[in-house]
Order: sequence, then structure tokens, then C-alpha cells
Amino acid sequence: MNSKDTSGSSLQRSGIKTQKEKAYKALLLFCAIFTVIITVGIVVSLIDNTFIFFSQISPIEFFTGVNWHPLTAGEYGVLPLVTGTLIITVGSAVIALPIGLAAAIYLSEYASEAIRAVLKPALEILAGVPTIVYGYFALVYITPLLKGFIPAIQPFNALSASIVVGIMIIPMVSSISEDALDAVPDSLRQAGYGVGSSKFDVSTKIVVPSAFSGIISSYVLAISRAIGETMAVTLAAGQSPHMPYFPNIIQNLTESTQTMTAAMVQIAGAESLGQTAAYDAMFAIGITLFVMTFSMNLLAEYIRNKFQEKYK
Amino acid sequence: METDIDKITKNRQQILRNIKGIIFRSILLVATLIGIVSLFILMIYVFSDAINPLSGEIGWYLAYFITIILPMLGFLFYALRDPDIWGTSIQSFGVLFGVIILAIMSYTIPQTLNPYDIFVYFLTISIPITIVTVYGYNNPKATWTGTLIPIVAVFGLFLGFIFFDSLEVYVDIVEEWIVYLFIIGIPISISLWIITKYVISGFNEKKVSLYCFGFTTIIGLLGIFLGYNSSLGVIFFSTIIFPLIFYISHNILNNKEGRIGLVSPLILILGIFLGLTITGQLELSGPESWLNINFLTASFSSLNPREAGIYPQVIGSILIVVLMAIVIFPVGIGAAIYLEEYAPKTGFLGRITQFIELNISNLAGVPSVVYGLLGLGLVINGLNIERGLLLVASITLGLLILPIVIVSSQEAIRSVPDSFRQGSYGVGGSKWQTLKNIVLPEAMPGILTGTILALGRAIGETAPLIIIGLSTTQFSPPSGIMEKATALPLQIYAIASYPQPEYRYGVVAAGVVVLLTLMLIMNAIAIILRNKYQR
Repeated sequence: MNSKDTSGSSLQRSGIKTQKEKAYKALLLFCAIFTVIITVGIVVSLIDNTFIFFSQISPIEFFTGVNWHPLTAGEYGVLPLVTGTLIITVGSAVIALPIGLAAAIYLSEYASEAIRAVLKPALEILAGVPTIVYGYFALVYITPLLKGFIPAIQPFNALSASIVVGIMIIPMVSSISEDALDAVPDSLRQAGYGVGSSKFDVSTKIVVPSAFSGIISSYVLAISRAIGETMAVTLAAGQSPHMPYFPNIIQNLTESTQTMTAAMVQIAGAESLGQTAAYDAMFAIGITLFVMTFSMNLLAEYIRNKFQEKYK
Repeated sequence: METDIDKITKNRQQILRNIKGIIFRSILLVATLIGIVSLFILMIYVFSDAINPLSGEIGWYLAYFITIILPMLGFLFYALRDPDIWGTSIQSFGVLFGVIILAIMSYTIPQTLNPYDIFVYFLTISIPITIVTVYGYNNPKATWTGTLIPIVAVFGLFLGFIFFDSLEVYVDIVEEWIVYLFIIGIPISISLWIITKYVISGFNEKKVSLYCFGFTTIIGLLGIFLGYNSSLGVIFFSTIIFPLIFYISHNILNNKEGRIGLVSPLILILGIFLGLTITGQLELSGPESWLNINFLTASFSSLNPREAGIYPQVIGSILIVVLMAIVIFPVGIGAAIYLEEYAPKTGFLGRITQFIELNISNLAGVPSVVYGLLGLGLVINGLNIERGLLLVASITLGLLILPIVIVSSQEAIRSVPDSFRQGSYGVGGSKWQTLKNIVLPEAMPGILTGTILALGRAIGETAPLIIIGLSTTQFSPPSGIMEKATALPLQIYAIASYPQPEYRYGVVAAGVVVLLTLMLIMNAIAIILRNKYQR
């Protein structure tokens, strides 16, 4: 802007400038709102097709049926898929929750700065490997290895899937738990040492209980991730849905099963998929899955917020 | 007496406590390492299955050890003493690698999508932009030209989309090499302009870009008289030769301390040629790797594993990622800017901001397979289009990584010190000017790092692509954005459970290695960016 400008045009221009500023702000606001539109879009597309599905198959049959054969027999009971998901989720939680917490305690309480700088990103790599690669590992390397210990194990089995999903979600537990452990004020640790406690006692009896809500929040998030995990379980656990074997619990791990996510992949991958009940069933499972994971994420968020208030 | 017993018990307790502490500590360490170590072992398995290192003759390894490893080690010891030389040699490897990838992409992507199609869009977008830019350059008073550029760009895109068929007829009469000159030569000349102006000093940016464009044109023209393929000449010269000449002369003139480092890639290249000659002369055979040129350039074969390749899938994955970056980057940055710089933090509107942020963090936790349903239910059925199209794949995966892009961009914007903003306001800058001229340039490396990391993750995503109906096995790459697409992880999924060991342990392993390498390259780019610009 130079001095030759008459004041009139300068005023006019600053008017344009404010208009421009407003236009930019509106555009940016739209970008932020867009994320809400995505959520709405997910919910709408899920609900829309789920209604179509429930107009063909009754919700009672869907939620209480014990047989899932949508493509061959037209049986739409979701329970075998839910239990299949639970088996693998529990299996992976047994692996990831203790290991993740132990890693978090080590990184937060014991490791030196240098070791931490190496191990932390190394742990993050575990979550960065594509899940399809984990599925391939489970199918081709881990299952043959397990066959050495458990001869009865099938080529597709829930155990190998649980192992790889467990490895995959370790960083989820460790990084969030570590943040929680780090947030415990040092004065609490000093107080523990002051009354003569060992590092072990301080870690297990003071730091971990103080960060309890953060740890639980990380557990909930990790389990939610395990529930939504798709390709590793599709490849490793196979596609044979069944209700859990009851007296013989081990059989649940050594035999093939099918999770909710794997069932969706199977339907989507089927040839000549028109507007059939099987197609809409995908959305019915999808909304079940979405509600489960979304509420778990909210729960984790809630627990974490409670915890943050504690040490502010 | 009593005190003695007390002491002994105390001592014993002390020892017990120590032992307990040591055991606890080792358990923790083992737990931290177990995941990393098992992944490492699995990686070794898959790499050795893909490359088959034991099937090579010892003499072959020995030949390459002498021609490549030994000279490189020698140079390494020399370079380690001088950080300037060390830095330059690492950088020159990066530049060499970068231009080779650039050349491959510049050749394969237009080949796949048809260079003339790209040319149509290039013209409809670049001509309006050029007009507006030139007008703004000659009339400094017209402050609206900066705003107009993105608008005319989008307008040009629509124009190209609508009049595509009629424009293509006119474009078809142009020689192919001239098309490449425009769609590759011009962008590279402009990039060199930007690089000489902002990144490195010492050259006149106008001269550099003019030379680049001029010589590329000459190379294309010479092809007509000398009989070589002008299109290849244009691509090869503008993506590899000229940038290398530029980089080398820049270092020789302006980097007196470290220029010896330029020798190191040369040692590698000479070593490779020498090794090839020696192994050829002595008829030494290398390992029977599944990961070979044929694997990268052929399409899949379900009959002969030795002939099976993954070319269409790799190109498909790359196209999906490139398109995804274009689709999602503006929205992601926009949302991050709004949330960090504009969004009210208090009151009723503050509540809405909180809600948006909570929503973003929850979106990041939605299973990827559900995003597939979003693409299927809303995009494919909503617009009533075919399943499995390239654009739908990019949009679906783009929505999937959008929350990650937003969160990492927010962090980058937040890390710009407030004093920078105050400085800009102090000299009378408006909010938008401050953002555009101060905050965004400062935050850009961080934003790019986060975006590239997210894109790298998206390469491995499989489930949403299956849901939206991408074909697992396809024998040609998608030839347009509204064409049937395919992606690398889908091929891995399709053949991972083949019973034949040649597929299970050979072809799939090689595919996994390629997928991991693609991710590694993207992560490396992101990390280099971060380290280079970290304050």
C-alpha cells in the first residue's frame, strides 16, 4: 500500500480485507465441521442399511441366533461372531495388557534417558506394521511353530491370531500407560523413598496405583483396538464361525473361528454382491462393532479426563 | 545378642529386597523387549524367504564384498572424521535415490493414466493460474490475486472434467514428448526455482529453471533427429540428469568443506558395475531371490510363481496414496488451523470446539473396516457408482487418516512460538496474513511429517479396500481415477493362503517385503524432514 492511495480506496480495500478474513475463517470452520460430517456419515450409512436388513431379518433372530451362514444357508445369528471376537480379544488382552504395563513401568521408572530414546520408538514400530503383514506372519510362521507344541492345532486358529493382535496392541497400552505413570508427581515417589521403600515398592505400591485410571483407560483403548482389528484375524483365524466350545476351552484357541470383522470381509469379498440380505448384514455387524468400539473409546476418554483432574 | 539377630534378619530382608528388585526389573525389561524381538525375528524370516540368501554362491557374495562393501567401508572411515563430508555423502545418497524414484514415478504414473489425459487437466488448471499470477505480478495493487489462485485451480479442474472429451481431441495432435515436457519438465523447472530461491543459496533461480526447461526441450528435439525416444529423453533428463548436474555444481561451488562426500554414491555405482562384470565373467550366480526385476514389473500369475509379479498393485497403491494426499491435505490443514488459531475456547462455542476435538479423537479410534462401510454405503451407493474405483479408494482411506493428519498438524501449529504471531500483529499483519506468512511456513515441516507418516500407514490398509470392492487380483494398473483399482496389500491377502509353498513362502514374502519397503521409504522421508527442520 503506498502513499498515493486516496483514503477512500484504502477504506474500501480494508473492507475487502475484512470480508476476505471472514471468508477464510468460514472456510476453515467448514474443514473442522467436516470431521463431524464424517461421523454423521458413518452413522447414517450404517443405520440406513441396518434398517433395510432388519426389515428382512428380525432383530431377535440376528441378536440371539447361534448360526451364521449368510452366503450359503441364509442364517443370520450374530452370536458366533461376537463370541469369536471375544475369544481373540481376550486372548490378545492376556498377552498385551501385562506386557504393555510392564513395558510402561520399565520405560517410565527404570530406563535411562538413552535407553528410553531407543526403546520407545522401537515399541511404536509394533503398531506401525500393517495388520495384513501380521496376519501373514501368524498364518505362515507362527502357526507352524505352535504346531510343534500343540499338535492338534489347525492351519487356521484363534491362538496365532490372538498372539499377533496382542503384539500389535502392546504399544497402545505401553504409550498411554507410560504417559499416565509420567504424570504421577515426583513428590509421591520421594515420599515413598523417604519412608525407606525400595524402588520395587515405590513402583508397584505408589506409582502404579496413582496412575490406575490412566492405565485402565489404556486397557480399554487397546481392547477396543483388538475388537476392531480385521486383516490379521481374517488371515490367521479363518472363516468358520461357531459358538464357543464349552467344557473344552482350549479347543476354542486351537480351532478356526470367525470374528465380526472377518465376517464383513468375507461377505464383501464374495462374488456378485447385489442388494441382498447378506450385503445389508455387513452394515448390521458394522453398527454392532461401531457401537462397541465407540462406547469403549468414550469410556476411555471419560476415565482419562477424570484422571487428569486429579493432578492438575 | 538381640541386636545381632536383628542385624542378620535385617540383612536378609535387605538381600531379599534387592533380589526382588532385580527380578522385577529384569521381568520388566524382558516384557519391553519381547514384542520388539519377536517382530524382529519374524522380519528376518520374511526377508530371508523373499531373498533366499543361502541360494547364492559364496564367490558371488565375495565379489560384491570386494567391489562394494570394502570401498564403501573405506570411504566411511575417511568420512566419519569430518562431519561436513559425512553429511554431504549421506545427502548425496538421498538425492540420488530421490531423483531415481522421481524418474520412475514420472515414467510409470503417466504411462498408467495416459499422459494426454494428465495433459488436459494440466492445461485447464495451469493456464488460469498462470494468467492470474502474471496479472498479480504486473499489478501489485491487486491484492485479490493470491486468493483467486486456488479458486481458479478448482474451477480449472471442473472445466477439465466437463470438457474432457472435446479437449482431448485437440490435445491428441501434440507430440508425446511435448506432453511430457509440459507435465514433467515444467513442474520440475518450477520446483528447482523454488528450491534455489528458498532452500539453497548461490544460484539465480530464474536462470536455473530456464536452463532446466531449455535443455529439456533441446533433448526432446534432438531425439527427433538422432532417433532415440524423445519422451524417455525428456523424462530422463529433467528428472535425473539436470537435477544431478544442479546438485553437483551447487556442492562443488558452494560446499568447499564437504564436496568430497559427492564421491560416495559414485563408489557405489562403480562398485555395482564392477561387481556385475566380475560375476558375469566368472559365471557366479547370486541368490534366487523372489524379489527381482520381473516381480516388480510383471503382473500376477496363478500358474507359475516364478513369473508372478506385483506391478499393477504397486502402481495402484502409489496412485491411491498420491490422490489421497491431494484430497485430504487441504481439509486436514484447514481443520487444524481452525481448531488451533480461530476456535473459541470458552463459552457455548467453546463447548462446540471441545465436541469437535472429542469427535476427532474418537474418529481416530473407529475400526478401519467401518470406514469401508462408509465408503460403500455413502459414496458408492449414495452416488450410485461402480464398486472398486480408484477415487473411492482414495476418499475412503483419506477419511480414515484425516483425524491423524488433523491431530499432528495441530501439534505442529501449536509448536510455533506465540512471539512469532505477536511480531506479525505488531507490524500490522491481519490474522490471515499472520497465518499465511508466519505460522504456516514455520509449521509446514511438522505438518508434512505427520501427513506423510499417516499416508505411510494408509499404504498398508486392507480391510476398507476389500469392503469397497477393490479387486484383489488385477492384471493392469488403474488407467484413470474412475477406473477399477487394486492395491498391494490386497494381493498379499489374496494369495497368503495359497497352499503351494512357492507362493506362501516366496511370492507373498516378496510382496510383504515390497510393502514394508514402501512404508519404510515414506517414514524415512518424514523422519528426514523432521530432523532437518527441528528447532
